[in-house]
Amino acid sequence: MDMDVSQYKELFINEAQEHLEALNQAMVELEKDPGNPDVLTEIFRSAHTLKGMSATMGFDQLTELTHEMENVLDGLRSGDIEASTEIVDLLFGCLDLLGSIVAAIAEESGRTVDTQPVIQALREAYGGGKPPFEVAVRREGPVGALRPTITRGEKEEEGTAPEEKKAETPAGKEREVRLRVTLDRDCALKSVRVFMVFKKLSRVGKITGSQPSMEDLEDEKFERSFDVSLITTESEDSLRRDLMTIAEVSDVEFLAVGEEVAPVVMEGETREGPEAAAPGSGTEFDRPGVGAPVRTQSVRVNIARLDNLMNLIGELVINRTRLQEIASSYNIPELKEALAQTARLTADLQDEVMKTRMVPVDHVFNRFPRMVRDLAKSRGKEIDFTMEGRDIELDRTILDEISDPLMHLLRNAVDHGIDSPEEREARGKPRRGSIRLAARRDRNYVSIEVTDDGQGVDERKVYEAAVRAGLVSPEEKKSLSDEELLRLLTTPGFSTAQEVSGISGRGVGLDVVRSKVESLGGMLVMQTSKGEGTTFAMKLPLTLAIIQALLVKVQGETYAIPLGTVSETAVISSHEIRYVSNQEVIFLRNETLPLLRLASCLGLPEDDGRGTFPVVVVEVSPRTVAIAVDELLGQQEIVITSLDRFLKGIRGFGGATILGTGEVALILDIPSLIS
Amino acid sequence: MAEEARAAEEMQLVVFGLGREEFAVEVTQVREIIRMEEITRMPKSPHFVEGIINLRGQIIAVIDLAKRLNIPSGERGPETRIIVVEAGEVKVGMIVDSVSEVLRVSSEAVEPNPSLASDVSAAFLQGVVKHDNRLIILLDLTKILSLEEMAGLGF
Amino acid sequence: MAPTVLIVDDALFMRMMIRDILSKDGFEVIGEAENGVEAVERYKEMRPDLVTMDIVMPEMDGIEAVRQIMKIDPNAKILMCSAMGQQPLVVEALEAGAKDFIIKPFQPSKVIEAVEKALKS
Repeated sequence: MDMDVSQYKELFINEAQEHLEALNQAMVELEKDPGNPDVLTEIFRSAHTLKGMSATMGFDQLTELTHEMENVLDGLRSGDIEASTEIVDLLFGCLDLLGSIVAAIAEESGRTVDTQPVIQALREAYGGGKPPFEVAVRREGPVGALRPTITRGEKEEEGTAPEEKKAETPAGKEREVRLRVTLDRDCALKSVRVFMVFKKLSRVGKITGSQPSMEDLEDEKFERSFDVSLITTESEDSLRRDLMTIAEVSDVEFLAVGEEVAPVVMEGETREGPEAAAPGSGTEFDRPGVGAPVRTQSVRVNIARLDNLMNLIGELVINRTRLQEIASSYNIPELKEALAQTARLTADLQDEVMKTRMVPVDHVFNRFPRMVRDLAKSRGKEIDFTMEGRDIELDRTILDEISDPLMHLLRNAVDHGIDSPEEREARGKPRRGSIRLAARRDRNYVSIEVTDDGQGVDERKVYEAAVRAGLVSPEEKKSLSDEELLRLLTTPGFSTAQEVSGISGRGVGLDVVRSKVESLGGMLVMQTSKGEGTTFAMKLPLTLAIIQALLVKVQGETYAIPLGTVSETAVISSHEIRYVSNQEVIFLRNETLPLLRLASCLGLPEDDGRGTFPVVVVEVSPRTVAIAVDELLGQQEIVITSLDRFLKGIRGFGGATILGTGEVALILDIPSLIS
Repeated sequence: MAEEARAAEEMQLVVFGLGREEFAVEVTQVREIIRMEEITRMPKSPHFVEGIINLRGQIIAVIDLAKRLNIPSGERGPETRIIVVEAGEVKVGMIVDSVSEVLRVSSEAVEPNPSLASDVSAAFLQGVVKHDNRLIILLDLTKILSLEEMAGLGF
Repeated sequence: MAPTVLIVDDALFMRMMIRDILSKDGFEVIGEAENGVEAVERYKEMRPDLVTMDIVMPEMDGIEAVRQIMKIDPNAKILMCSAMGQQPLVVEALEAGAKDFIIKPFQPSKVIEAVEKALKS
C-alpha cells in the first residue's frame, strides 16, 4: 500500500531547498578547509536527510543522486577520496542538479533533468561500478555485528538476567526446540530481522543451529523463512509471543526435533555489551509529563497566508479610518471611545503581524558564499568572503526586494572592486582579496553593507567619463565627494568599466540598485578610498506597509505622496511663476525651486488657466522641487499594497492604497517620477 | 485513469461577446466575473490598461480587451463585465461587452490553426471553436497578458 | 487512553508524515524533537509510551539518544527510523536498546505494525 504523498509536496520542497542551501554553504566551507571533519559530517547529514525525504516522496532521481553523492562523501570522510578541485566542482555540480530537480518538481512542469552524466562522474569518483545501496553506508555489514551479539547473548543468559525476562515464565524443562520464522514478503533488511530474532532467542535459551547457515542468513540468502534450533526452558507460546513482537515477522511455527539444522559457528571475539543492555536498577519513574503534553513552540506558516493577513489588517485599518470619518459627523461620545479602543487594538495587531513577517537576513545571505565563490573562480580572482549579522531580521518583503540589488553589489565587488592577484601583489597587498557582507541593526533601520578591499573607485576615471557623457562640465571642480561620485555612478547608463564584463559593468545597474533601495524607503550610500577599497551600504526601514502620506488630487484622481519626502506645502498664484532657462520656477523662502506639474509628470492633460494652485515641496536629494497639484486633500495613514507583476514595469509608482472610501489611489514614487 | 483521460479531453469555456465577435477563455483561468465598477486610472501605462481596481483588498489591473486586441468594442452598459483571469503570475481584469455562458466542448472541437479570418491578430489566438454554427475564438491569455509583449509596447 | 508518541527527526517533513500516519491510527503524538539532545529532554518531560527515532541527526545522533534514554528509562520503547543501506547503524541502535526499526520510505501499514508490536513487547 502506497500512501498519498502529494499533500507533503510543498513542505518537502521548502525543506529540500533549505538543505540544498545548507549544503552549498557547507561545501564552500569544505573547499576552504578540506580536512574539516565537522563540515564533512554536516554535509553528509544534510545529503542523507535529503535522500530519506526524497525516497519517501518517491522522487527517484533525487534519491539516486543523493545516494551516489553520499558515496563520494563517504570516500572523503574515510580519506579514500581527496577533496580536490575536481571533486569539489563535481559536488557543486551535483548540488546544482539537485536544485534544478527540486525546481522542476516545484513548478510541476514535468521538465526532465538528465542526471546520468553526473551520476557517472560520481561513480567514477568513488571507484565506480560498485552496486548501489551497498557501498558507502556499509562500513561493517551485519555479519560483523551478528556473531558477537549471539555470543554475548549467551553470557547474558547465564549471568545478568536481562530485565525483559518475564518473571512469570514457568520454569519448564530444558529441551531442544526447532522453530521456523517467516518474514513479511516485502521485508526490508532481512539480515537485521534475523539479528533481532537471534537476539531475542539468545536471551531465553542457547542457540544450537540454523537453517540456512548463519553465513547465508547474514547474506540474506533465503526467501522468507529460516529455521533455528534452541535449547530452552521457555514454552512454545511464550517464544512465539516474544518473536511476534518483532516487526515484519509474520509467523513462527514449531518443527519436530530431528530435522537437520546447521550448527551455529561462534567466533571467539566478544564485544563489550552496550550500556543499554545492562539491567536497569528497577527504579520506577513517576511520570509527571504524561497528560500534559508540551506543544511545539513554533509553526510554519505559508508566506501567502502572512501576506493575506497583512492585507486583511490593512483593510481593517482602512475600515477603522472610515468608521472614524463617519463618527466625526455624529457626535456620540461612546462611539468615539469605542473607536479609540479599536484604533489601539488594530495598531497592536498590526504591530504583531509586522513582527511575524520579520525574517533573518540569512534567508537571502545564505546563497551568496556559493555565488561569490563561483564568480571569483570564473574571474580568476582569489577572494575570502565573510558574512556578519546573519541573524538580523528584516521584513520579508523588503528582504525579497533587496536580494537582486545585493547580488548586484556583490558581483560588482568581485568584478570591479577586487583587483587581480597579480595587481594586488604589485601593490603590496595580499594576493587574496576580501569581501565582507554585513548586516547591522540601528535604531530605526537595518544597514546592509558590502565592503571590498580592492582598488576603490577611480575618481578621475569617473570624472572623465562624466565629462564625456556631458554630465559635468569640464570647468567644474575636479574633486568629487563620495556622495557626488555615487550620484554619477548611479546615473542611468553611466559606465566607467574599461571592459564591460558579461555580468556587470561598474555603474551599470547601480542606478537600479539605488532606485530599488529608495523605492523601499531606504537609502544607498558609498564610501571609497583609492587603493583601499569600497563600501556600499543600503539603509533600509525595518518594516514596510503602513506609511503616512499626503493625499492630493489631480485630474479628478487621488494620489498619495509619502510624507517622508514632503517638506512643506504652499499655495502659489500663477503670476509668481518665473522662468530660468526655460524651466518654470517659484520663489519660496528665499529659495528658487523648480516647479513641476504633477499632471504633466503623469502624462495627463493639465488645465493651466487657474489663478492659484497648491504646491507640494518635496526633497529628493540632492534636489528640492515644488510639485503643482489641483487640490490638497490632507494627511493620512495609508497601507501600501504592492502592484503585481503586470503593472510593476510602470515607473513612478510605489504601489497603491485603498482609501477609506474604498477608492484606489496610486502612491507616487517621487524620486523616479521626477528623475 | 480512464476517467481522467476522458475529462482531460473536455474543455469548459467562458464565452463572451466583444464587438462583433464571440470569444472564449478556458474556465480554469477565470477567477471571477464582476460587474463594471469605478476604475482608478493608471497614468503612464499602455493605452489598453484601463486602470486598477480594489478586488477585496488586492489591487489588480484592468485592461480594455478590445483595445488590447485592436478591435472595436460595443458600448459600455449594464451587460458590461470584468472577467478576472489568472495566467502565470499575473491576475488581471478584462473588460468585455457581455458574458454569455459556460460551454463544454471536446478539445477536438478546437481548431488550433484557424485559416478563417478574424479581426484579431493570430498571435493572440489559441484556436477557433465551431459549435452549433457559431464561431468562437479561443484566446491565448498568456500571450495577451505577456510581459514581453508589454515591453514591446513601451513599458 | 491512546498510546502517546514522541517523534524525533531532523526533517520537519518527516515528522509531519509520521505524525499523520500515527494520528490517523489513533495514536497521540505528544511531542516532536529535531535532534538527539532535544529528544532526551523531551523524553524526560513527557515520558511517552513510544519514541520514533531518526538515526542521522545534528547535535546528537539517534543512537546516542537511544543510549541516553535507555539510561533514564530502561523500559523505554524506541523505534528507529532508518534509510536503506544503514544496516550497521540499525544494528547498533538495536544493541543500544531500540525495540525495532522502520525503513524509509515509510509505508503506513508497516509503521503501524512496528509501533503496535513495539508497544506490546
